[in-house]
Amino acid sequence: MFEFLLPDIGEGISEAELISWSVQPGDYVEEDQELATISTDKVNVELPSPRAGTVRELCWQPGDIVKVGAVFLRIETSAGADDTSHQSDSPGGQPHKVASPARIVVSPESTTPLNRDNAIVAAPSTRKLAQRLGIDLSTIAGSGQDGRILTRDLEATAAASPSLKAGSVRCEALIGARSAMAERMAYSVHTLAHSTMSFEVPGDGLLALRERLASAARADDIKISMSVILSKCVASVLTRHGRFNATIDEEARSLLLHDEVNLGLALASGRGLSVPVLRDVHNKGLTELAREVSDIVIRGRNGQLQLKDYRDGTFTLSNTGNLEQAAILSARPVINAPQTAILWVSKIKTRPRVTDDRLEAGPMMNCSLSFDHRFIDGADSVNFINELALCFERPEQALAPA
Amino acid sequence: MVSRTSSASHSKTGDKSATSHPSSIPVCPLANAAANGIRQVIDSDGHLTGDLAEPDIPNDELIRLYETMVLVRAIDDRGWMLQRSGRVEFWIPHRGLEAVHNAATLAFDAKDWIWMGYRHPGVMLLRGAPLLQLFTQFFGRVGEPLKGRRLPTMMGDGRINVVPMTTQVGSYIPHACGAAWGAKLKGHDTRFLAIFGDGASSRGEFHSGMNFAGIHKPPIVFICENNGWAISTPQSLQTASATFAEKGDAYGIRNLRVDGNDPLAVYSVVREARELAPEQGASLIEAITYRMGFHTSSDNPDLYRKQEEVAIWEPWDPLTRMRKYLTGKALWDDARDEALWTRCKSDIADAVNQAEVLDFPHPATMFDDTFQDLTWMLEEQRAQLLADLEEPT
Amino acid sequence: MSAVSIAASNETTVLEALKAGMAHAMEADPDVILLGEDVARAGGIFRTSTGLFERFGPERVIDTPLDEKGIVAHGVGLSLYGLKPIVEIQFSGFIHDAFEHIMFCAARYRWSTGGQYSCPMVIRAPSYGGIKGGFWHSQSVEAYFVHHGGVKILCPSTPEDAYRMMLAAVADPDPVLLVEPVPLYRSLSSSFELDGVPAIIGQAAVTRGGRDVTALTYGPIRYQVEQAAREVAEKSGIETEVIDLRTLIPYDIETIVQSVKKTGRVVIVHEAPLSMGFGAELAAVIQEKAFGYLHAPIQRVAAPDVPYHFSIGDEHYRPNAKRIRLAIKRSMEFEF
Repeated sequence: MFEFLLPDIGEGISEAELISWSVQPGDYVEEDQELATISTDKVNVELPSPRAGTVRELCWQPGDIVKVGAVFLRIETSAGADDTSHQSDSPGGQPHKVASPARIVVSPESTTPLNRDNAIVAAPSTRKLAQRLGIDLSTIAGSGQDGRILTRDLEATAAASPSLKAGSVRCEALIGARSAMAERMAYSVHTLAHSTMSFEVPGDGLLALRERLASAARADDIKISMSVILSKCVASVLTRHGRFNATIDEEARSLLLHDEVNLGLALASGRGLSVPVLRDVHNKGLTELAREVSDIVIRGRNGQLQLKDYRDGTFTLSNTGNLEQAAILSARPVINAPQTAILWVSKIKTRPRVTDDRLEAGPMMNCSLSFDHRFIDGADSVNFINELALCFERPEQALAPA
Repeated sequence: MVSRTSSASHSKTGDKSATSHPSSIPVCPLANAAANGIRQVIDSDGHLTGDLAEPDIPNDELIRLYETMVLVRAIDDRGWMLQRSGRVEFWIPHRGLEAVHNAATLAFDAKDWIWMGYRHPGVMLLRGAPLLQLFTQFFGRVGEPLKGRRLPTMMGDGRINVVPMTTQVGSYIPHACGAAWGAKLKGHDTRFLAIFGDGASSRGEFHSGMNFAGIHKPPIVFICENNGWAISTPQSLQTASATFAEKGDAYGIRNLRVDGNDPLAVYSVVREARELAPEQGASLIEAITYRMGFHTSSDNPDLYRKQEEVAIWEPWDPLTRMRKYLTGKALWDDARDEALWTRCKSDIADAVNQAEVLDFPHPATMFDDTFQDLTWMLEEQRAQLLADLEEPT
Repeated sequence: MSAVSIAASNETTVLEALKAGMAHAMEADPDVILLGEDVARAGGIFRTSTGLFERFGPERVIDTPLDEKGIVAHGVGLSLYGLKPIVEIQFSGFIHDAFEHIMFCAARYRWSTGGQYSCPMVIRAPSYGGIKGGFWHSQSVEAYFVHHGGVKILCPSTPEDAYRMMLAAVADPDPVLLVEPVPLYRSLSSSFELDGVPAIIGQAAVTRGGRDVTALTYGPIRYQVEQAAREVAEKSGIETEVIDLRTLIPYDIETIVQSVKKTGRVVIVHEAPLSMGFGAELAAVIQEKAFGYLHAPIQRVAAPDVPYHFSIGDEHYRPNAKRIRLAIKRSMEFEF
């Protein structure tokens, strides 16, 4: 049975009024024979039959409004098989004449109110990281603006629950600051020609200076730590040994010698190693430096250090004194590229030593200087160390009034 | 033939035919061709009464011309029915317009390029395109060179030097002119024909094309097929110029008016214009004819014109005139005519049956021929489309 | 001076590079012709084609009537017949009359004829601000032509790019819009071989490497972006990776994504107005392809959605280094 669907006879009409039939059920019609007259808002038309056959059913009455696409009448064709006008089996062959679109009704139950409390705010990269770490973001309180979950929040979670894998293996993912440090370490070691010289100095002068400053200070004055004193010493020597206060331009294969001494202080923080920079150390006084160091340490602890705090370093000082219990004799510190050198110093400890040809016990500080042998040679290093040692031994003399 | 311009008495549309009309119903201008400056060979009875001499066309070509005109008429009758019965999406009738494009195509050589409009299927047929190719295009199926991408009747085929038209009427006037100019620059003898309507002549492209043509004198014949209407806009609202031909004067282009329902006259002036083209450059020929049918299947002429006005053109039907002329020359008779009509309808029926069951193009083919080589953007879009198609739901 | 013989290149300006490209293409293929207003006897109002008329004659270098629509439309016709026309639109602000023939004709003949016909033509559009041109002479129009496909769009910002892209545009079998950088015509020159080697269409250039933020741009504003990059490096230690897109259609998605995956932050800069500009497409496709790598919202720095102002436009309408720098900083300051 052929079903003649009412066609769109003129660019987007959606319905038509049936005016009159030209055939009756039982009539035999030829292809293109007139079936009916319909009226649209554009025109009156006679509809020809798409098929030859016997009219079986007229589906509408004159006066009815018929929607485009509705079954208009049925014709029994000789083919017999079920047949609908505009049927196509080819891919993509959809009849694009659609009856007027169904009205979309929004049922009250289907709307989900936007619940601000449930919203998870996180950058795409943070979400991806959370997924990788297996962290459910909905369990984390974000410490960023608007409650945004930050990567350090993820790191804190990861650190707090180290068992991210079941079983006897714990996974520490290389993320955030640790990841950056890993990259920098690898780069430095692979690119620079590390050479290390170790030396020792008597610590009497340093201890005495620290003691004197502490006793001269008022109660509310900031404490001048050993790191601050060492920083001033190192800075003053650096002003006379430019190649150690320099950075490397790898592309230009040259050394940039800096007037200012920007000293990086290696600090251990909750997030791992960080090396914030004290600027223009040589031109600042001990007190000012002490304040800056204190500020940096506090901010470092609170994770508030910013990018600019790490920039433009020209030399790095690593003092593990606070951490040492064992007597560490030397180190092979990794240079903080693009700098050319780094100095490690130990805790000042009492050890056997020879003074004026006499064996005695006295405070000694061990130091190791790593330098980039591509730009600095051994003689330079020895000269530098000589002056450094002198400065550490007699800090009072070496420190010009700031 | 069933008139499709019946002014319905039904109340819904009855009022619409009262739209005001700028002028009273005229006499057909072809009846006073000479006085109206319209070149003509035969009168409405096919007698050689016109100012133009009978052209020298071999008899077999005359018959081929007439047979094609009849086939073109038969295609229009069938196409209309197909659209109204929902089998073809859209139809653009060409009843009454059989003379201009067929005679003009005959006047041009096979190697010449033709830009035709959408009421000119005879251009394709005369140059050898099979009927099946035309109906495949009407149904938008696989198997014809335009790959189902165009509305029905917007045809062409580069293999027979018929350039598929741009749908924006008139936009191809400077394209055709540019191509003709190109042939001239390269020293080729290819000639060019562009057929467009009265409405198209108002578009800026007409001005651009005529202007360039006047300056550079490319070997092109422009035919402005003035069928009286651009949808509902009569000539009087399309231009204040007395004729379309005279617009050529403004650009230094030779121009004339011809009886567009007289295939012999059209042939004569077009052939002459083609011959003169290398020396004199472009010609603008205004062919006076009449659009007997609707603008398209979405139109309703009752809104803007009266049936009486259409009726004055019936005696000037190009098929009738040509048949009478051929009969007068003992080249034709009623029996042959009946046989011709039967054959045309049968051939068309075959083409319809074959074309209607052809496949639609696969969606992936939408991406072909965008650039010569697909960009990665198109590759991705195609891949996504295909992947989505593969999904069951 | 014989304008076609470029001084045995010490340096070639953008203008000279465009001319050298045209000259080379016309020398190599007799089907290549140049048409436009004032291109022949006057050598073009910018003198981009000086000398070509004398060298190639009136049938290959053609002065047209004042009719942008007609220029492009006849170019379409010429290309359909098999010539390779280079058509000049005097200023891109005048291109709108020809829009149909670029986007709906030249860009459509191949597809709508099932591949039987095509339009291998070049449309030259002198563009961009910095010349006190106001909206008639400085408006960016390339964004109109990126939508809908069918036209390739090249945006050179260096003399070498101008030369090689001209060659690539002429050689391409499809229509190409060559967006010429007017403010750089004479002010930018460089030394390179005029060796007839065309550019590869669809390749971006990383003009400055960086790890912190990716800046995407095209056209002369690229130099403002590089200025901003230098400034943020100096002032804040931010390392910006600057990418000159060079082609808009098709654009180099691989270079873009590779950079974004490295930096996680994006700033897009273009002279054309902001809304629904090319930057919008880039933002969409970046979040599509590198979503998980993004640390911060994608920033766009562009002109406002208003016409190009005459007297203050060059400074305040176009993005400038300061605005770009601020956008970079905003991107960097976003906590993730």
